[in-house]
Amino acid sequence: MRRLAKAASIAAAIAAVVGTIAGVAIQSGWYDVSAVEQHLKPTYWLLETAMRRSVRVRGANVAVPPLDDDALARRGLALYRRNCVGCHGAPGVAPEPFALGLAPVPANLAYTAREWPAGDLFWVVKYGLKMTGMPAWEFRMSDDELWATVAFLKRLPHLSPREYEALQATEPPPPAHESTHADPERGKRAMHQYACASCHVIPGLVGANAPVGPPLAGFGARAIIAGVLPNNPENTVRWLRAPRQVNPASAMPDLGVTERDARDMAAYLSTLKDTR
Amino acid sequence: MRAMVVAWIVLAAWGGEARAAAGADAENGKLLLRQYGCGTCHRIPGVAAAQGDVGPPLAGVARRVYLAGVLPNSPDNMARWIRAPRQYKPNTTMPELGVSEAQAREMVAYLQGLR
Repeated sequence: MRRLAKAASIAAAIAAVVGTIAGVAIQSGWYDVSAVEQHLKPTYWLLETAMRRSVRVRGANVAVPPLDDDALARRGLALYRRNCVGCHGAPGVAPEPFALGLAPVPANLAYTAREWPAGDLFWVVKYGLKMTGMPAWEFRMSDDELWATVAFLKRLPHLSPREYEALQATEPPPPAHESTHADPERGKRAMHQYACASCHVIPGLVGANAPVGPPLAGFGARAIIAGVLPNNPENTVRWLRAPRQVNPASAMPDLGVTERDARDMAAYLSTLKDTR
Repeated sequence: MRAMVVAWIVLAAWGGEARAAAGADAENGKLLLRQYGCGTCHRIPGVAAAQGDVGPPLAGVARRVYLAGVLPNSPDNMARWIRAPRQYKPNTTMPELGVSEAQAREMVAYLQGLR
């Protein structure tokens, strides 16, 4: 019993010392967060390994459909050229200059696609990676489009630069209309994905919560939206989809919110009854 | 050491005087916010009856980047907005209440303290 107490007090002392050192390191601004200074080798290894494990564990649960289909890969190519090539490049094609300034540098996907299982690729493209430049495409591509992209990625390592250049892409069909039931939980995810918290304080969302626009606590109890529209689900959807149509002078931009996403966000906002 | 203490007292007294002047304006402003019925539509910290949920709450309004989504937040713009909201946002629900320039200044003195 006494030995246990002694061990506990030693552990507490060590924790206090480590905590103090970490606190001083943070407070003094010691760590250089610039994208020009490289990570230390152990830091890079730690981040890369943790990311890889995290993706592997989650990707393992993804059910992979058949991907060996020319038509599917050609639709994927159209999406790749639109959404991916700017940062990741392609055989014989450099990324855009801004992408070269990112840290971590976007991966060469010919290598990644050869090494990673399709489920992992799907998972990363759909959900993105925190603290990297990799965005989540969940609210920007349907699952069909995501799989088409993965089908193309799986062909990438086998394409010569000439073959890549010669490939003909086909535009994917517009996504089929999805669920009409408004889902507040999905709406909360969507609000995060449309970066709402970079301008508003929103209960339930962790983010910059900068006071650019008004706080959204109590939105569900508020009578008027944006000072102009009576608060109801239809008007909330209307405002979220096209604020500058409602108020041309508004600082709130049109973000290309889809009907479904707006409906889900409106459902979440209507749950925010408490003004604090 | 003594010089530092003296400097501190002088600075504190000087700042205190400026604050007192601003404080009087702000107190008047708070009174005016009540008199013009702002609380019918807005929640305003420090104004007990101001519990309206028509427009946005005014807690932290001093830190907000835009006013009514259309004007960059500054004391001048806030006074303009209070006096003539429809000039900046024609379809706004907020009415023009006939607030004078001096009254708007005092309201702003109070609102700019809501950080």
